Amino acid sequence: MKSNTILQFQNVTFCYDKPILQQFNCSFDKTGIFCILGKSGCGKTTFLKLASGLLFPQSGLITHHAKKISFLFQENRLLPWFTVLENMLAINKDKEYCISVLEELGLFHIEKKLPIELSGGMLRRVALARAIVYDGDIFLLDEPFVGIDLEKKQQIISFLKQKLLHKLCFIITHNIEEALALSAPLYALEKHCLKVVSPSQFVESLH
Amino acid sequence: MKIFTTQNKWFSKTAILIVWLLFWQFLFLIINKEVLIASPVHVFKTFFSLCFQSTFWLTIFSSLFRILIGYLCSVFFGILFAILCYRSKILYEFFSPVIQVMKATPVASFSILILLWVKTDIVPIVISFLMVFPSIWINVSIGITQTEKQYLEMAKIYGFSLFKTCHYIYLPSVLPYFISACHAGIGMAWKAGIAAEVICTPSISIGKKIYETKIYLETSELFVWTICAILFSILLEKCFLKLLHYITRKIGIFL
Repeated sequence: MKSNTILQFQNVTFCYDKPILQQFNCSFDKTGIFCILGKSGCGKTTFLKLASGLLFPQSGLITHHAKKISFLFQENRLLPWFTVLENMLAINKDKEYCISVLEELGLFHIEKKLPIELSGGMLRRVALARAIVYDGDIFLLDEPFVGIDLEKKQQIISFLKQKLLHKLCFIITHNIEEALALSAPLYALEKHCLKVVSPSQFVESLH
Repeated sequence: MKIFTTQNKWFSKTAILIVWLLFWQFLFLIINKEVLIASPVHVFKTFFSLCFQSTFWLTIFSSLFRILIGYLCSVFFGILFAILCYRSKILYEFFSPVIQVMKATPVASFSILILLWVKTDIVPIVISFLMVFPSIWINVSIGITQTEKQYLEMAKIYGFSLFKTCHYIYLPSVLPYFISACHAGIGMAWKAGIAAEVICTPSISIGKKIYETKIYLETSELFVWTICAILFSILLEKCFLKLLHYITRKIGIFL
């Protein structure tokens, strides 16, 4: 692994019932946002879980220099028995910072609410806020804009672009408009590698 | 509006109580034998006469004390063993058959067996413990194993310490199971403890008093002691649950 490489997959093989990744290789040495796409079940979430260390490959090597990794799961995974603020404070003790990130994501005066009292879009933003306040060196965001309306989405995208400028960030999305708004390189996940694709190939690959 | 609702609730509860008391009186009038069924009036008279005797309260509190000790020990060891068995599969396999035996063994068999080993005063403590321990162990074990793996993954990603994972994830997941076990356990401890007292007759105990009512055919006293046992069981249950809810709120968990 080169000293400036942030994340590297070397000959990684991972299977559930069928092989998901086979002799998979990829390497990232620049910060920035990268969009990953691919058909359902092609292994996008598995790729993020392998990168985060939640899953281990059957063979091959995954290396990174990150001390902390922020992961926004496909499900929000907010603790239902704690308020929004307590969910945030469990990750970062700085109360003012937690509230300011919530406000940046368009969430005002919801700190004392329980997750069950929030809408789907609000829950998604709280989960995203939690990933942000953890302040990882690598961000793994699995479909972060699900359930969020267009106006809020624009606001969040500009916030993410500014906030994650100096981080390595992978965003899984199925939406070309989101990918274009993020002005991020587009990658299609294949069995052996991440392949750079154009927006038109991106749309094609979804069909 | 709320006051009216609360008033209505109390009114309906009182009405139901009166209906049952009338039904009791009606049964007494039909059977008309004090030995078989005491009249409500006689029972209340006996109750008030006993109420002003210090031995009455001493008897109740000594039974309460014994059963409470057995119960608290079962809660403590139930939690401890559930955690240990979760950490070690071998321990789980080792203790599982013992718990099954404890669940199925009748109070009478246990009481007589334990009476051979310890003093009569200790038997109700051991019996309360043995009756409640399996229920606490099983429920806490289920609570731990039912903890959402998704939350544990989240805790791993966000670098939670073991203490933090217990506080934020395991504890709230286990609490509903634990509270329901405690809830059922108090009644169980109380019933089993008094049954053990009847069998072993410790010097100052409700069980001994119940046993004596059988010898002297004092049905009204039997009713009084039984009513006291029921009332104190309910009181104990309410106090313990209030305490548990207070603690959960204090640590910021909304169940």
